[in-house]
Amino acid sequence: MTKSPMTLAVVAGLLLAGPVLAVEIAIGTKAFTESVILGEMLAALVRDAGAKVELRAELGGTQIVWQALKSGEIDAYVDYTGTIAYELLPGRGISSHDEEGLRKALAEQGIVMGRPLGFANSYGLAMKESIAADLHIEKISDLKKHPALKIGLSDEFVKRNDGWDGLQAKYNLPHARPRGLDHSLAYRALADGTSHVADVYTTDGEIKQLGLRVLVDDKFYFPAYNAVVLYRADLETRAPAVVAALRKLEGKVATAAMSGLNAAVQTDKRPEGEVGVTFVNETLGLSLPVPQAGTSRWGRFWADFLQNTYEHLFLVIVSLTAAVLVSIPLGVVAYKVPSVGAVVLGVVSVVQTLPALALLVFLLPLFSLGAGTAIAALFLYSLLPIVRNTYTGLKTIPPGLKESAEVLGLPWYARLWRVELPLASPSILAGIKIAAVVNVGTATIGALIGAGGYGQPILTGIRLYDVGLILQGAVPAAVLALLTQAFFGLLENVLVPKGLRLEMGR
Amino acid sequence: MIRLRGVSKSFGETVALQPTDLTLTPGQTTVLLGPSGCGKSTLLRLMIGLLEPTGGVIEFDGEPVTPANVMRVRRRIGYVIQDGGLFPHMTARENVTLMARFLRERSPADIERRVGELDQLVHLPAGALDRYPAQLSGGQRQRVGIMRALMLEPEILFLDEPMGALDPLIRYDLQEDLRTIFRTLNKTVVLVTHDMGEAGFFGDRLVLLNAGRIVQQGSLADLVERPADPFVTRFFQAQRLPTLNGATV
Repeated sequence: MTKSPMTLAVVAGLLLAGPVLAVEIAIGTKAFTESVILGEMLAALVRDAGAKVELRAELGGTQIVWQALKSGEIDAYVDYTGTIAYELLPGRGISSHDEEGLRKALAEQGIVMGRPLGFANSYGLAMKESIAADLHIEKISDLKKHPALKIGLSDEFVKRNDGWDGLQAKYNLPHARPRGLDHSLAYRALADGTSHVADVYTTDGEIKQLGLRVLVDDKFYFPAYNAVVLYRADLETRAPAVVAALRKLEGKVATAAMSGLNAAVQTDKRPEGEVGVTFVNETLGLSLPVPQAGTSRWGRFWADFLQNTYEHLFLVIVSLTAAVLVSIPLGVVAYKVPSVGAVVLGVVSVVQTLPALALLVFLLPLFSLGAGTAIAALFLYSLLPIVRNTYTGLKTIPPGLKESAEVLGLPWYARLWRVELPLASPSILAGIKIAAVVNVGTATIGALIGAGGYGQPILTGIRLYDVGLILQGAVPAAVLALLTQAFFGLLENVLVPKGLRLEMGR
Repeated sequence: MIRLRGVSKSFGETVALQPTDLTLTPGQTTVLLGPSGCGKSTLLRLMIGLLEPTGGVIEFDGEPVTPANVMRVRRRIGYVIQDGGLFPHMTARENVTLMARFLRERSPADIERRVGELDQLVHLPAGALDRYPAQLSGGQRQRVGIMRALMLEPEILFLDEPMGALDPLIRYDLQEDLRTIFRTLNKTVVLVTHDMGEAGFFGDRLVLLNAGRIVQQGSLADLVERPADPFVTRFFQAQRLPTLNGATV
């Protein structure tokens, strides 16, 4: 086949489908492997439908992705009916099994829920296939007949209200209350035989890898966690072709298949895009281009390193500069007007205590997904040390010096500029140094909302159990913190007036 | 000149200064004297506007001092505190010229000339003006403090325990130099001290305070020979005054 008729067809398609082609679609994913694979599948399908696709992979958590979908930062992502029922629509009392109820409630928020993809990523109990076969255990209720089996559960499952205690009551299990382990250690214990039963997510790659049997939840204790595509309702008029593409996976992904895909990424270290698109091609009989890992390992390492460094520095420098510009005046106001000071110091102290993830979720509707929100959060976290040190630095100037400046007849602004701020400069600079070092460490949260930085390899590394990848983020972040510390040490020699350094014996 | 009429000061419930009348005599040195907490520093700080009086009026050249004109008043008064109150981030020269540079009323050459004059007056060692306070001795810092106070040629000079932190020998030299300076310049001087010897050495007029009020004012001889109150005698005896007119007091 020559190329020209193809080209003609493409050009014709371009002309006819002009408006569709102009559509830009953003697909989101959460920060775990399964979500990233599904995101890659959706992205490939939507791209095939002619839209320009941006994949915002590894966003921090359910709330962040959900906020991003509602605000239109992303157009679609895959979630689970259980999560939708309990986390996205809390207090509505809709069962995770009630698909129509969930669909209706989501529609009120302008979100469409597709049909189930076919697999469920629920909680479940699993044991080694060989042992289960020997003991003829297929269902959870079969465990009742084997009180000697050792049960090793993940910490989370032991502690959850709807975890072990409820399960034991529902099935009337005779086993003693098990100790909690880390989730990955619970698998390890199953593998080496120190425990026989563990809680799992039903699509975990380890199920295939370790040859596990997932026991049937015959009394329907666990909520349904059926995977579904969530997309914005406006797509149906804006880009019907995209909607059709998004729904192509419905009913096509079986639980065992998903578990196999997860294992391919986690165990075989294959890229998510390659695994996902290959599956789509095989299952739907398509021939979408399969993304290939491009350059050499070292080439990619350097490219990633430079990109992460650039993003990290960008977050730190912009947020810190803004914090310095705002904090020093705030500290001065706090010092000059004590009643305002109490309020200012109180507010910045409270901001400091907000957990990073919560702060990101608060800020997300105000700023866009990516650097904006991360910078806003880092800015807020940097306020306290600088405001407080500016205030304290001014407050602790010896009274004799303040009075000397006053009786000379200098007006307040000249006293501030020529005497008080220079005298407070070591304290202010120390505050900026603390803020900068903390900022460098905290900027790793940027990855949670797609702002990149050294948090990106850390996040991916945790997801893939890849220590090398974690270190690729953690080591440069630590080095950058040390460099920051050293840089401000040098800056002190320039910015703190010589006479003060002499006085402090430096 | 400065005149206080019924000026009082309270900090909350505590009365620091009871209603007080006081007039400064131009060209004379007035010494405010008394034990710690007697109100002598409060009185000085009221006169320079660092404190606002609770009651009464402070007049400068017949005009009441208000927040609106206090800046102008301050620039006509030089003020020296214990240890000089020098700004540690500026050299001695920068300390001395800070206000003149801020006002921009004098040319740099003019400022330089004035610094030279004052340097002559206070006897600083060569090069001391370009050192930072941390590199100067206590006595040198105090001399720089005096230069700074005199820089804008004020009519009045206030000194709040200027020699409080100095060694006896350095103190002795500085006292000599200071008295010479006061006499040469013929300024109106107010000096706060709790040291009798120093008071007698400088003072044309002594004002003795106790518990927030003026107990007696007059010459040293007046206070010693004609005490208005048993406190005056007790205060003098407690000071182990060296000699007066050749006889031990």
